[in-house]
Amino acid sequence: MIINVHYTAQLKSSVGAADEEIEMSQGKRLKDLVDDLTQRHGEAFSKYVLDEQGELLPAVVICLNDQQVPLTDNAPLTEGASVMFLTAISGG
Amino acid sequence: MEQRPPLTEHEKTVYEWQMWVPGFGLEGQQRLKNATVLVSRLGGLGGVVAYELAAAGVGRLILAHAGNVKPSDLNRQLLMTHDWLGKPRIESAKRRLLELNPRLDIVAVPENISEDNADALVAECDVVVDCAPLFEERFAMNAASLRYGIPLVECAMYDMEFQLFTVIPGRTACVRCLFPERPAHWRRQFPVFGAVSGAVACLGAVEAIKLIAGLGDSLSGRLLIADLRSMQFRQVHLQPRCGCECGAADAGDSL
Repeated sequence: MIINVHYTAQLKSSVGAADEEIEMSQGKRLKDLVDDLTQRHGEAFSKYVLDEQGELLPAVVICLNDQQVPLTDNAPLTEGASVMFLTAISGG
Repeated sequence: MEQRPPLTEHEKTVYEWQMWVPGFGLEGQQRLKNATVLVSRLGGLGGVVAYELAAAGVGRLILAHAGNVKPSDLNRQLLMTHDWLGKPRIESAKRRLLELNPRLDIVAVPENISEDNADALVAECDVVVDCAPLFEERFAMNAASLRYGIPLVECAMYDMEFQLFTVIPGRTACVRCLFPERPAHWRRQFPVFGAVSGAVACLGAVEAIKLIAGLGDSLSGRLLIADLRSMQFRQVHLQPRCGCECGAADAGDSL
């Protein structure tokens, strides 16, 4: 199945893409996608998303099909799902 | 909301075009005149928020911004001018706003928001528009807005992107629901165009006007994300976080 991944702000700059399609096997879940992206992009992805223990950083927002979801729920992914990783930004 | 004198004939003339907006009218304009809005920092975001609110006829603005005008402010901070380089930002902002709307009541605070002053300033207003760069400031405003039940409009920018959402205290996701801690990789200086900060600032001002006038639907519980490089806009639904200080999770579905 194809998962549509979207990045914002600093993470987009670090990964070097705003969007990408990730092919995953059926039955995969959100944490599997995070693992896949960590392998695919290495530190460019992980340093904005995961702490040193591999846990999701508190200030990262994940949205599945435009609904904010906690990574701990480890939601199942389905064909064509949209997953957005939002990093915190501010003013100035 | 304070009760201020009824709109004068001159004010009715100035605001004629917006009083034609369905659902707004004379009553909405009077509500704007009666309102007090706190705008935290008057940079690329807050300066344009304040300018739009001054133009719209908000009666009183509490403006907080420390420091002096620097050359690197001038690509986006539209209330700051070349002739004011090295002088206090808050004075430049006040001067420019009063040129636009001499009827405006301005409380000019030459400080940034902190835990020390947030309560006193937030308690005086009807809406807070958060345009601050530091998360410490954002957290202080969020906490004060929760304590006093004041709606908070959150504006943010980076590169050619922006984010905007509105907090209705105790009912919808707050700043700490999204960002429980200071983001580890956030940096004080970042790329941005003034046209990008101005775009989200105008939308933030619209949110404040809607909240005051009871017009339309606010972005409470929704985060608007825009990528102006590709002109893609999308909204995501936010969920209050269980255990967050705002208590909104107890009011409905939560993370």
